[in-house]
Amino acid sequence: MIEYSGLLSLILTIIIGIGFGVLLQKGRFCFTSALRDYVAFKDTRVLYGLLIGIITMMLGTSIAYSLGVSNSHFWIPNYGLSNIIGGFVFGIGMVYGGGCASGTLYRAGEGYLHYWLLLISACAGYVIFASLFSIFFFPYFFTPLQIFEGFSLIESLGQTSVLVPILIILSCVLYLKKKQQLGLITNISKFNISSISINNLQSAWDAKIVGFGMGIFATLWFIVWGTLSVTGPQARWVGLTYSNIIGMEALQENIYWNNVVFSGGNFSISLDMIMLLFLIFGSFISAYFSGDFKIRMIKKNRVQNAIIGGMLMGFGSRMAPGCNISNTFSGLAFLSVSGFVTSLGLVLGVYIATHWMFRKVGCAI
Amino acid sequence: MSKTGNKKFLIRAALLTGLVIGFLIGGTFIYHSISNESNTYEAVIFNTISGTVTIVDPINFNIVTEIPLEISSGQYGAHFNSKLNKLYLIHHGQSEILVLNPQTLEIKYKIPIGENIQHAGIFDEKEEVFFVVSRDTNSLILLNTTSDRIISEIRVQEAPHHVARYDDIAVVTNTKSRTLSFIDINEEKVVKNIRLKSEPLMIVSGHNNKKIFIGTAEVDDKIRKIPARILVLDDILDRIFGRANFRFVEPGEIILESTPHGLAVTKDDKNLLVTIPEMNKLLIIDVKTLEIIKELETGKSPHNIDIDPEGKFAYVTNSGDATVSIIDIQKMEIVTVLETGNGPHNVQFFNIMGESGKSGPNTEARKVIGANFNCGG
Repeated sequence: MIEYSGLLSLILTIIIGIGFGVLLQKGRFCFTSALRDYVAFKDTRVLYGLLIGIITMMLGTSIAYSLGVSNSHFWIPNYGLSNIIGGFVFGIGMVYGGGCASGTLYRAGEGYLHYWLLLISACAGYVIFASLFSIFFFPYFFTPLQIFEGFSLIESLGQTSVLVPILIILSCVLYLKKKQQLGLITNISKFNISSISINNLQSAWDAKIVGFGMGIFATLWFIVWGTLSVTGPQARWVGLTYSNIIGMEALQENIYWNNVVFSGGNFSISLDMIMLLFLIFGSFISAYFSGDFKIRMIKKNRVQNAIIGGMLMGFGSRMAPGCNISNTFSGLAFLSVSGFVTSLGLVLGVYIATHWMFRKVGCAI
Repeated sequence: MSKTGNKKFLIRAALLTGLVIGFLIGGTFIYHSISNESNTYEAVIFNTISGTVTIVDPINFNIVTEIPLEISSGQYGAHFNSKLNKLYLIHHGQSEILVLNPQTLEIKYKIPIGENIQHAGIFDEKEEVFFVVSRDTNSLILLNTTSDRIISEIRVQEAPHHVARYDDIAVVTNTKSRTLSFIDINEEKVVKNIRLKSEPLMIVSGHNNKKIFIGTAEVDDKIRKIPARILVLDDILDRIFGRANFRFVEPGEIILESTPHGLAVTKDDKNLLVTIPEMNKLLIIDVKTLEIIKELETGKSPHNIDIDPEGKFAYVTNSGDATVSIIDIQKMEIVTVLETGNGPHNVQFFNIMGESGKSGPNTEARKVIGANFNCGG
């Protein structure tokens, strides 16, 4: 059964899903690239786009929140050392596998079989994690480690929360002005619709513009549904598919599937799950019309990367909990402590894994 | 970035990471050292006419706060599942169980379960199954507490009222047919019905002594005159289920002055506590000798009795004057009487003040659900 609060929400979900897919594909917007390229080559192309996206989302969601969007749309999990460990495992997995939660999806839409295998491995990771949840992760991981109450500065400030992103933006402008590096702001301000042509649309887009667009879409999604996330709805798709294999009763008996993934035993298709499908579809459409779509076979020597990397991402995203999108993108935009802590673990994982992977050639940082 | 710039950047990043990890390790250590000494639960009183919850500090017996519940007025039985950190609220006479978040007291969802369900219900030992009776369909319903789905619906006799459980046997009191139905839970069938002289009402089982206690109504009409009683069935389950070769004998009984309501067996199985609403009394009965050893004056219309997890204090809800009497079980005296909201019904013991950083019997489960995973990320 599909559960949605009206046709308008469903239409908006489809538009937002396609929008995200197109933006991710056109901007090659991958967190692994953003962080790994910075560590290995000091390349800030995607990293700046990511920061612009986070600040845009912060501004957008705080305005929406001030205007009356419910605080239940914030995802603010409890936190503790478990977040660092989960983020670290996820970070290692995404560098080893070659893509983050969102990067995997848009590359899957471009026809890379490597990323389909990575995605399947992550899903297998969710299933194994769920089966180990009540006997290991629940008593020995979450209970002793995830002990602090979740907190988000944006959510806690209520109507005045909008002042926070304004202050951050002003500080950034002043800092960049002082450093005479206002180029990226000028780039955005120079952007005008009349300059858009078919050729422009078909070529890759500037990651900063894409970051800005991601922030806008993430705000719309916040209004329509809640916090932007990828591995959560992914896990629910896995759960529903898995229930067709082993039976619904078995899933209902499992506390992780029944009480965590499908909270309260509500086994149905939700809007975020639909959004996820249209995100892949959006990246496929974008890749197809840009001439980037092609079925690309997986290289033999990369099979282990996809399998091990995917499994680590699956486990890491359940342990943290959350992936790069819900913690680093949405979490930092909400100024959520758990988002910050998980992102720190994730960056640490990326840093170590990048150094290990590039040990022969060396890293810039 | 130059090499010096790189070095500075890395030192700052390492310092920040070290500080955060240090804070988390230190915080975890402090949390676990403090939480071991902390109080583990609060007494949560459900006032179902005013639609509020009164929270009592079970050490100092102070009222901590009173929180509104979003329910319509009526009689509700509250049942806390510590394993899953779930709270069932049964609206007496209705057809649904409300499932609440025990910390926020928000209604999460409703379980349609049967017609005219009775507010009393019990969990099995592992809290995996919940037993509740549906009066209009004459059935005992077994609910899987994880999935909140009905496992089985077993037909008993007319107008079931209350249920008790001992090992894998459930016993249901049927008021209209004046019988007890004995149900083998594994076989999911009634194996015996026993007819009594008068209406059986509430029923409880001992913890380790194979005894079952049933409160029966007083009958005083033209045809019959039967006093209110407490019936004690000793080892009867073994006899009924053929686990011993004893001949079935009449149960022991304690004659009362008026119809009893709430029943509770102390954790050490030594005493049975009984409320007599019409006389505003709590009776303490010696289970061995079946003698009333103490009578305590409660508030008006004492209703249910709930004993704290340590077995030290009994809480009697006085529905007639919106108070709760707290009784020291060992000393057999009333420690204090606290004012509650209107219509206090029953008391549950769990860590409702989760945010205070205290641990509780439900902390483990609360962290998982309260972690707000929602599978969000």
